[in-house]
Amino acid sequence: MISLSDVRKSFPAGPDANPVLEITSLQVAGGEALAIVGESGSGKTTLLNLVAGLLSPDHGSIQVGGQEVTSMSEPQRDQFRAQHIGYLFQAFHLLEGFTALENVLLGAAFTGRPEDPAYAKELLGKLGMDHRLSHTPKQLSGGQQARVALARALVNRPKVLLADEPTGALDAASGQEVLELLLSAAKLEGTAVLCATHNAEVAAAFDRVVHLP
Amino acid sequence: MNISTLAWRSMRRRPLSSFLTALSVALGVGLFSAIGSLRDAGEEGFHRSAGLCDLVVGPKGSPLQLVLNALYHQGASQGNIPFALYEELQKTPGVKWIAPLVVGDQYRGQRIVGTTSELFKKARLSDGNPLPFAEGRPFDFDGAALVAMQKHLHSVTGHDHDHHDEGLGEAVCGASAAREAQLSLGDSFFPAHDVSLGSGGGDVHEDLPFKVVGVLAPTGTPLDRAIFISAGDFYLIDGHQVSAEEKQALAGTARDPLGLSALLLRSQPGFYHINLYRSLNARLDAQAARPADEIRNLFRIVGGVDQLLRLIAILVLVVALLGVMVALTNAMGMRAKEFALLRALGAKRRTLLGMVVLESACISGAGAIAGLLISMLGTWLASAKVHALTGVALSPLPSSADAILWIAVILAGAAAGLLPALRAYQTEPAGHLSSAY
Repeated sequence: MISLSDVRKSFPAGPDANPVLEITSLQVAGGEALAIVGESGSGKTTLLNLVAGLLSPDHGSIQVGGQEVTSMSEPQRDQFRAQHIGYLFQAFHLLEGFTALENVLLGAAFTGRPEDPAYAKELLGKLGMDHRLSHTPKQLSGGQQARVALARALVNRPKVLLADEPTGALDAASGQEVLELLLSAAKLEGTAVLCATHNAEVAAAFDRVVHLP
Repeated sequence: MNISTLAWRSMRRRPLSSFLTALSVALGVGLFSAIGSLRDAGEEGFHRSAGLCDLVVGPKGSPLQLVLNALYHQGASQGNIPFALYEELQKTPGVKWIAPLVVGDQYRGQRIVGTTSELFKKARLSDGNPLPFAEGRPFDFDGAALVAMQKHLHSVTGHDHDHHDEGLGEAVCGASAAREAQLSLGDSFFPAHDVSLGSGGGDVHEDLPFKVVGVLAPTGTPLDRAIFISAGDFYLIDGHQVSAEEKQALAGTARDPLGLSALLLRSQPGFYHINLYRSLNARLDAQAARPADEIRNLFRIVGGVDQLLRLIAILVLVVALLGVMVALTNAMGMRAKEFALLRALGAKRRTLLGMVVLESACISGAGAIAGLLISMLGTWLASAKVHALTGVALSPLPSSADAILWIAVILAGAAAGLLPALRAYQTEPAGHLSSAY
């Protein structure tokens, strides 16, 4: 599902560039959950952003679902991301002024497909949020916000689910709960999961762990 | 969830900022529109009144003052013209109708105008209809009767004349004059001397009561503000009569007590009109003024002030639109994560650009609608005062110019949103989403 080959990314661009990520080869199959582990600054988030098409590598090939992301134009990458990538952020980034259901619907707002509120509600229901559909982010606990963010990442039926420290902002119990939901939902849909974490316990829950130097 | 929903929600998230920026636009648009509305409605109203006749004949002096005094009941009369001129014009070819005016009295601040029934029977408003009566009838005193009365008055001294024997004393009230003076059909009143003293002043002529026999429907012209009596009655009012010696001495002068304040005249267009205009202005004792020309001149004179007010309004509007731009630009920093998230969810750069431009256009458009409502309210509130002062009716309804203004403000608002939209466009999501909060 995900294939990286000889990928290199440096910041900033130019002669003073400092390489933050170098990956010779990385494959993740559909339905497989892979944890990326490494210290701060090791390039975990950069790797996720490269797969999402939010960043372009200096060098190398990134294929998602058989499509070469690096050869796409920016609007094509935007469209590809809207349709095939789900992204779960550490801070969740739910939009204020939108209800839980509307935040979830945002996850499929740019796919070009008709809105599917029934599926969004179904997802929130599976995540135990069916009684919080019309609540705004401020009215939700951290764990509940994480579930809404997870539902948003899944609502476009992505091929790939990217998670950046998904439990980092949660207490241990909530973190564990969200992690289980994330992995089970991805397994159910056959989604490839790529999760950046510095937490060894979290990483242990994944099918495979890759350490970034 | 489309771009308009996103823009709308974004505005709702910042209600105070959205409200204040829209309010500033509303004030600019309201000011601009109100100035335009008042000017256009005022000009239209003045021209509508000017269309009643095509010539105003009066004593030598300022033609604008003559028109304002005779047609709009503004300012003081410049004196009298000889009655003989009226008789002469009655026989002049090309004169369709002529109505004499004698002024100087008032009742409860409403100007009393002595005239003849030609004003009601032959004069036409701009819509082609005669003066409309809400109730009652015109008094029965035409130009021929006035000429006959003049001859009679010349033959007697004022003090010998018993006007009650004439069976006169009928009045027709303009719509707002009836309301302001609290006169209804069948009511009686005594005129007071000296219109310049207003409702509280002037000696009351208690010798001759007048009975209201007709009330005009509103015309939106200064006719609404006058109380019309027959010119014959006007001469008979005690205090308007002088001794035979005075009559003799003042005859034909600007103070001729049996002269006329002005004449309203409708002539045949073309040759007759031009000839009449020239010949009257060649006289030493009178002049003719074209109301339409004088009103055009008046608006040309005040046009400079009008342009200045419009310029101020444009500046207010520009500042308001800059305010929209500043408010949105300031918000861009706080909204960086929102834009980054939307980009991460697949929103294209141009989607964010459109969203911010739409937001700016919506705030401006909403402000413009509010501004037009403010303008309509202001015009409506001012209309009663303007009508009371000038007799000109202002319409608070929006015009096609207002629709153009609304569209222009929306477009300008969209343009004002371009700078902040560009910042949204340039948002790089990777840099804003990695932080924990």
